[in-house]
Amino acid sequence: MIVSLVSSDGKLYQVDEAVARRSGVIYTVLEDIGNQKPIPLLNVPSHVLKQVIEYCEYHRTDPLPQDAEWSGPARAELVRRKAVVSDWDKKFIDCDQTLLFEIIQAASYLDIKPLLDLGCKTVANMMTGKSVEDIRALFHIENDFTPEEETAMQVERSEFESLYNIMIKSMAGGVNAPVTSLPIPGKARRRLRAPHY
Amino acid sequence: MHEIGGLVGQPVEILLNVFKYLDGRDLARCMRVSKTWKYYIDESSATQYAIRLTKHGYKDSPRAQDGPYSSTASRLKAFEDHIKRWGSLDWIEERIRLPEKSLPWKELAGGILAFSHCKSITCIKLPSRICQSPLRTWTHKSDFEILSFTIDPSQDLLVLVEILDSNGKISLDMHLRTLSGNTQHPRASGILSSQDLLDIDNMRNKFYLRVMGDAVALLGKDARLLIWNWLTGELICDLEASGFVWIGPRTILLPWNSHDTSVCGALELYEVGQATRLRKTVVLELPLYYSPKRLGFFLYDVHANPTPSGCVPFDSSDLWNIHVSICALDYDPAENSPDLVVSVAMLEQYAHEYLHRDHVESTPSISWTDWGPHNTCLIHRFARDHPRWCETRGSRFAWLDTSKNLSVVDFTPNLIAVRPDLSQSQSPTLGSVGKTESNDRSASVIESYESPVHPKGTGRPYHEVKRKLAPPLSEPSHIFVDEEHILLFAADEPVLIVLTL
Repeated sequence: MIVSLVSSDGKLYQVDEAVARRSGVIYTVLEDIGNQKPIPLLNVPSHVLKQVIEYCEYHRTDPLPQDAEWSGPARAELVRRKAVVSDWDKKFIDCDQTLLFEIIQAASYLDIKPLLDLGCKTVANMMTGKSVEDIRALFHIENDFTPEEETAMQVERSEFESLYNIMIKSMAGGVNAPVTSLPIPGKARRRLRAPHY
Repeated sequence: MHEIGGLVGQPVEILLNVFKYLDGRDLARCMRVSKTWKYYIDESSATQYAIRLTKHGYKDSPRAQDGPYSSTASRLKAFEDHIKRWGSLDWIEERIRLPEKSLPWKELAGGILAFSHCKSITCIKLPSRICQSPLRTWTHKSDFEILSFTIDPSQDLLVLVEILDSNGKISLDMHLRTLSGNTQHPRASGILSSQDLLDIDNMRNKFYLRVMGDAVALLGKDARLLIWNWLTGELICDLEASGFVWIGPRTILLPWNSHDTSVCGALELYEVGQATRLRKTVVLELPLYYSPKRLGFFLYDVHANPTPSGCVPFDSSDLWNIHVSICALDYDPAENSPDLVVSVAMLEQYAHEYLHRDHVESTPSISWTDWGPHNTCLIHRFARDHPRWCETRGSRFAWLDTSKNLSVVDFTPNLIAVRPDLSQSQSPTLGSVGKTESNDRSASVIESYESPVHPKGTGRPYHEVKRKLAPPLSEPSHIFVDEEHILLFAADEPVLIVLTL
């Protein structure tokens, strides 16, 4: 079965029903009124819809996500998982910021949860470890705090990040840097026995 | 400007969806980006929950499959109440009778206290005020003498060590059972066996073992650390070590006792596996007056399987017995944290007894020290109250002094002190074996204050609160601390005092 989708600027796209059903909204429409007429997608322009269809084509056989927000993974797991993105997805989502947010909005509107997650993960990855100024510059956000408010927050921050600052100060190039053990005078090497496999 | 396409023009649910993937530290930074962001982060219980957890050094546990549904808002509320209880030592006391006074092997992990006694393992699931679950006790019998054991409640795992002596051929067996039912663990390949241990007679009763993920580490008296993958039964590491602490999956911290007089020792971070390698070294330097002698380390577990079952076997005959508890803060191998900062709490009583003979200083004291990899060292020293026992867990540090006051210091910045309401004066309930409600607090909290030390200064800020324990209390032989409990083992009677916060 072929489903016809019409973008906000009037372009017609024909996709397999299995691909179209990746979208929760289109799924509901097909269940409700059937596949008779082209489905107008008033919030999705053609250059975004093209991308969304490409994503759904590639992921057409993936299992559909469960609809249970609160039974989902713990936050620590989500934070960890944000770094796990497949190569294809990484390449797919590697686009300019304007298109990225258009895709996120379309995924939100069309209810395509994995695509929405991919987009949000990408944005979160862009923000991780960045300074406040960097985040503002990255997303063109204006600083609307007064200097007094900034100072007040600065105190709060220094308390919150005190340990982190100590760590930054003492950074030796990160965990993946070549191993250099600090010289301990008179220290003999630890014996490492070959494991018996 | 990208008002239309950028993040600014996005609906709030998309912004919150992005925040879902950030940890507390990144969120705290995002709060300072703009007023709109600050508003959303302040108002969303999900982001607030993440920030509070990070601030207090907690991690969210996976939601129970069969547990009752609780919203993030209610979890946040429960967590805040929990932190307040620590701030005011608002505990509920329960006394449990133990089978005997000295239990050589005991372990507290994941809210379960387990001890071995006469061919059996007894587990006490401690009461939890966060989960509103009561105290529960069960016992598993075994058909052999248990030389040592360890538990990992997160994987429902119980490891029992047995020594087999058949015709002079001695071997060691590790039985992998379920903690709940004492049956063969479904994920284990079978019994882990080793015939290759040198001088097994010397090692009798001196095993120390701990599980982290798929790895189980066993340390014997002859300073040999063996690590198996308990899922496959494969031996993955064989190292010389005098103690160990699991830091993360396949990441282990080993002490190095230097024979040199200029440093007191070092900690080495090893990655174990097919190619075991050294990742980092942290040199522990102490003030000058320690230098002439070496220190004995007692390493205690930190993260997943957190609380000690006893000291690490360590030949300390010529060393100072200094109680050293180590917490590795802000190091997560899976997330490639930038560095390892080690916090150490020390009870220096014995050191000072020794020093007393040298007329240097005579007050017993406790110190809390942070060591960074480049000898960044912040020391807090508490020289009052004649501490007797101390124990640390994360950034929380508890000790008992000679006048039966229990003090807790929290190095989590920004903790709000809650002063007890002294207007209701009730006579404290005399502790008998049974339950003491926390309404005797008014009479027993005697001190609570914040440290004046600013983070920009030489040390971290801290909050200290002290509360007198209800009598009768004999000299305790041990203190255990975890996120929700302080456990005191009485030295001269078989009683365990459980303080649930």
